[in-house]
Amino acid sequence: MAVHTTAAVTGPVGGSGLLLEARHVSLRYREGSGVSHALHDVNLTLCGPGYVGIAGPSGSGKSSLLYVLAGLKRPSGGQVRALGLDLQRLTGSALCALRRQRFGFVFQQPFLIQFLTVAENVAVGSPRIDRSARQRAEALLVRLGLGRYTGRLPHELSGGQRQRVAAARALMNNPAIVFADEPTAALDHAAGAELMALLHEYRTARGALLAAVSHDEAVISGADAVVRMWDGHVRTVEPAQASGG
Amino acid sequence: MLGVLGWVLYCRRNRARIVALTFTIVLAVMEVSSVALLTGSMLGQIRLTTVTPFRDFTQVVASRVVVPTSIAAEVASRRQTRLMIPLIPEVIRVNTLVGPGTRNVFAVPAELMPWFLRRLGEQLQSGHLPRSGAAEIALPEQVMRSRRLRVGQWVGQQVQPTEWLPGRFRIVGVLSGRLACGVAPYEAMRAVTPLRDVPGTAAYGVFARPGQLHALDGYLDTLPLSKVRVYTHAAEAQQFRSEVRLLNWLIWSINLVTVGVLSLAMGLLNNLYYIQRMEEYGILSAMGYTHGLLVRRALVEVAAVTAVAWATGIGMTCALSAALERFVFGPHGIHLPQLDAHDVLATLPIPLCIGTFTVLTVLRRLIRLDPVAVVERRD
Repeated sequence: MAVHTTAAVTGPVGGSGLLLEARHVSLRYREGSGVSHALHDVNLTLCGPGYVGIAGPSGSGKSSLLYVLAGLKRPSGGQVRALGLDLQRLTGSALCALRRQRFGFVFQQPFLIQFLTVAENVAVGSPRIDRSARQRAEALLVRLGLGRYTGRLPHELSGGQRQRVAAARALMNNPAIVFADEPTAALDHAAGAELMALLHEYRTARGALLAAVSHDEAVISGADAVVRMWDGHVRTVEPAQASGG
Repeated sequence: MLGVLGWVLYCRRNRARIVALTFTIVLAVMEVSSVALLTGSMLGQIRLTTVTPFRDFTQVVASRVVVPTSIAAEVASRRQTRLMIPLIPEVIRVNTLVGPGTRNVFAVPAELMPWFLRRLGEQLQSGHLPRSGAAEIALPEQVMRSRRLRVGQWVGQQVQPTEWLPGRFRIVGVLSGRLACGVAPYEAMRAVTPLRDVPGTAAYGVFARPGQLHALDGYLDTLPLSKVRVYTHAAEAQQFRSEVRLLNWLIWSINLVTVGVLSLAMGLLNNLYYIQRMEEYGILSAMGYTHGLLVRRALVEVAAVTAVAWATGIGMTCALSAALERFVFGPHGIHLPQLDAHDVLATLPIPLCIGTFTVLTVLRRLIRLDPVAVVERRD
């Protein structure tokens, strides 16, 4: 079955700039002697600031879609545009520069560097690591209520605190787009809600786009638009304007 | 380069790892440099007696009993010859780091002794030079200290049967200099050798005019072997090199095995450390740090840790040998040589091999690093 969905998502804040676009994107993996399709002919347009949730069962391709949109994976076919740039045409280093300067990432695990302090871990998210980056990191941590922990090492923090530090690191470069892959999956409900509130506060204040993959309907329910994935296809886009094709 | 991602901070915050790596490298450097040092010392002792003296003069020794007068006259008349003096080469026992060794004692005419010593770069440190015809001897400081001898004491086979120096000589002076040789009057030495009743001279020291040594040696080498044997610096150095070649080969083989095994172990250890850090590299890669930057970071870390460990090993070997010289061997008059450029060079394969092996293994991982595999914990 080839579901061919063209989805246009416009956030409620009213921005009209094209942030992310996927055209006929497919992603295939070599699996043993066969080929596994993670994405089939995905078409998606995300305009303006807002919050886009990507939902679907395990193996539906939602994380793959996020990674392709974020330039972490090269699609096997089709075209991905982010912030006006065709990711396929970018060199490896240009793609890295885009990720480092304009994107923020929050993953299921915080992946903090164990020998760096909290402030240093956050400073690592800066496009340029210098003394001012560390000062900005400390200021950001204070704003996020983590000011007491700037000099602590990651293993001294709770899981929720570590994930908030990871979120602070993602916001360090003032990203235009924040990609979050199951950001609350390893957290309890309260910590998860706290983390999402933090991300929402940022994208509202900065007019950024938050694209989050989650199993958690509570997380998804707050989205301006939800892209539901099924078997590598965009099954539905709700509640924003969508046109099937 | 990267501030908080720099190698200094990494080393400061991961002391246990760095100490383990450094300790292993330091031990290896100390082992290899100590072997090089001891071997160098041993060979240096031999070279000092058999090769070094012939930098300053060439020795012509009779193949049978005495040097024919015609040959002696011919050599003396050469325009390259500055001076030819009768000489009896003997040796005296010395205690060294690697056991009993020898130092040269040259018996030369007393009136030429000051000039002879000046040419050899030796100075009288205390006492006086032996007098003509007297059974007196001036010995190098090293022999005096290692055997705890004093001016005024007697040395020689007649005093101590295990001694190599023939006869019986009273120590009247102490010499210092690069050659560490002693001197005795020619006539007195001749009187205690088996040739005392034979007319003629058994050996000569031939000194070349400035810049003429090569030409003189070339001529001396043409003298008939049936009449005289010629000891030139070039020939002695060549013979020394050929004799120690096998020993050098053996030592280098042992060193290479040590370096090889160590490199493998260190490479695996480093590899293990980097496997544990793949999450760190993966998240940095996902955030947009280029592969080039991450590879450079790993290379700098490996290079810095290895270089620091190597330098520490060299420094500790220097400190240890200096301390041993000062507090253990020195007081017994045994000279412990310090590390020289050759010894340091012998340890260079250690950081180079470890660095190369580690870089190759770690590099392979970093080049194939897939950030998505790391964040999805598939790596």
